[in-house]
Amino acid sequence: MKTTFVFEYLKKKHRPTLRKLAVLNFVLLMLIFFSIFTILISADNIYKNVLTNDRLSMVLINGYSKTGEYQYDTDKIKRMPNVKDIVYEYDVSLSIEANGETDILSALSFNPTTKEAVSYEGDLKENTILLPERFKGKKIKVFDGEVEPLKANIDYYKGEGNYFLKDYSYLSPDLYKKLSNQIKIGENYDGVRTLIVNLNKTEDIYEFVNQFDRMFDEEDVFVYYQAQGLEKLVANSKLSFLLLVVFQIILFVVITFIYRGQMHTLISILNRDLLSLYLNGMSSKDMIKQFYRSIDKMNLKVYIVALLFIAVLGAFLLGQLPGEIILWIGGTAVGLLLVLVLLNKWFVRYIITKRMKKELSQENIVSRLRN
Amino acid sequence: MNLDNKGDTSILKVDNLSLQYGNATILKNLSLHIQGSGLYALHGESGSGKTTFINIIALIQKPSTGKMTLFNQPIDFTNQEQIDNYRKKIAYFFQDLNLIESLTVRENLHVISLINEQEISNERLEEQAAKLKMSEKIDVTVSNLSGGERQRAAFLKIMLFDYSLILLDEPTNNLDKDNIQMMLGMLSELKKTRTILVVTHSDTVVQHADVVLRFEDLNKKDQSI
Repeated sequence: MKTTFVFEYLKKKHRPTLRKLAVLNFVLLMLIFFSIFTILISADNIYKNVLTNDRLSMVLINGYSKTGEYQYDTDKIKRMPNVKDIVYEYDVSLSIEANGETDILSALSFNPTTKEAVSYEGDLKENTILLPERFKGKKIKVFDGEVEPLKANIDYYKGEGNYFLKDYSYLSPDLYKKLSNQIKIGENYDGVRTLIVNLNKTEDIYEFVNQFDRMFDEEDVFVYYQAQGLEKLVANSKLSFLLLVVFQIILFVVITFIYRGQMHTLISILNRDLLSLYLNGMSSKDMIKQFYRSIDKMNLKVYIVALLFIAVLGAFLLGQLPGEIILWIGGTAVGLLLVLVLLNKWFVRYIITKRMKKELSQENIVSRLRN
Repeated sequence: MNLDNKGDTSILKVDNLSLQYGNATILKNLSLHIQGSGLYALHGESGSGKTTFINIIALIQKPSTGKMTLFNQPIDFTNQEQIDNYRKKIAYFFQDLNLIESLTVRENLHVISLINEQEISNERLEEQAAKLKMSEKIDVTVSNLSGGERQRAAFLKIMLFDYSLILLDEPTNNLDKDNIQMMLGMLSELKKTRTILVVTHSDTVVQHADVVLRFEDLNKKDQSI
């Protein structure tokens, strides 16, 4: 259609304003692109490394009262929300001599929770001690709490489970029963049972710790968490992710308004021209269609520059990151850019159509002719 | 009154046209029939509704009630496609809004040729520009033209393009005596082949009209011209 070129004249006469609009669109496109990319990377990082990290899903708790050990109500704790299982037992002290060097390790019984804590596969035979893998290949001698040599089978775990339990050793139930009888309870704070709480999900840790804390009076009971600080890390990760999303939404809204405002300014500058075109017989529909086409044509350059910019950035990162990660990031980046370009086109068409329909409505034209 | 002395082609027929604006009645039972070519002057007091009426004929504004026929075809004001097609056949000369200020006169005429899908040759452009003493202003940006030059430049479009109906709203505003005479000369030439309806206060224009319509008469009672 011939009339497609009507706005070519306007483009020539209003080049600085159009260039400003194009630059702004590029900046806004890149801002949104990198914001979303940051969110994706942060979300992936927080989700994989914190919120769904099973190695953080157990809490080790010791409790002391003024007179010594504090007795937890285990039934009550088991009934608390988000609790999958608990272990409540005394630590058994073992002396491990490895290649002549002695190390003191705490030992707990091997049960479903501690098994999960160290990611051990299979069951333990009777009379077996499960040691961290660092002892593997060394000449081992084990002594019990009375520093008497202990004859038992020895196995090793890799320690890919819970962070706070990976330097413990674990005893088959029969062996644990035998050794725990040696513990002198109540003499000092050493004879205090360890409470391990296994949670359904790591992200529940903050809620659990808060609720758990509220069960005791600080003056009577001192509750000590081996995982102290972890709950804040998880909570902060969740909060920082939420804040990041909120920030991006605010940024998106601000960006949308800036671009919309700039487009409205351009249409206001062209307002008189649009009225002249209308009085010269051009329909509102044609004007909207052609004006959008002119802007879209200009934006095509913006989209190409954005793609080139990302390609250059990708080439730069190629030397810094492994190829597999670059491939993943590159694919995501191109996909994301395409989605953003489609959204941008829709958005530009939407604001142009909405604003120009208003400007070229019969009421508005008649009112302007009357004035 | 029925003016059929200019041929039997019906250009414009208005039947009982009314326009209500809130509680105010702007136009009431207005009827008019224009057939064939000629210069029709619509004369009336300021604020009587002449521009509103001409806006309706230009298909810019919708009436509240009544019927209108343009070039023998009934106009459906709800049919935007029909309105858009017919608006291209009507030249509407409205004060200083006829041309885009940031473009030259030549560029403006090119834009109008794109809208109307009518090509104009350079020879014809030069010829008509010379008649309107605009030859040297053809490549000047409209914003740099004087009021009179703008009027003449806008008049150039009417001379160049083949409009079936020409509507002029106070075309002699901003023009000096010489320019008015020149414009009247052009109108006298144009009216032989075109239908021109002009809203004016100017007695000089009225004197050159084939038919003078008193707007107050049209707007008060049903009348067929």
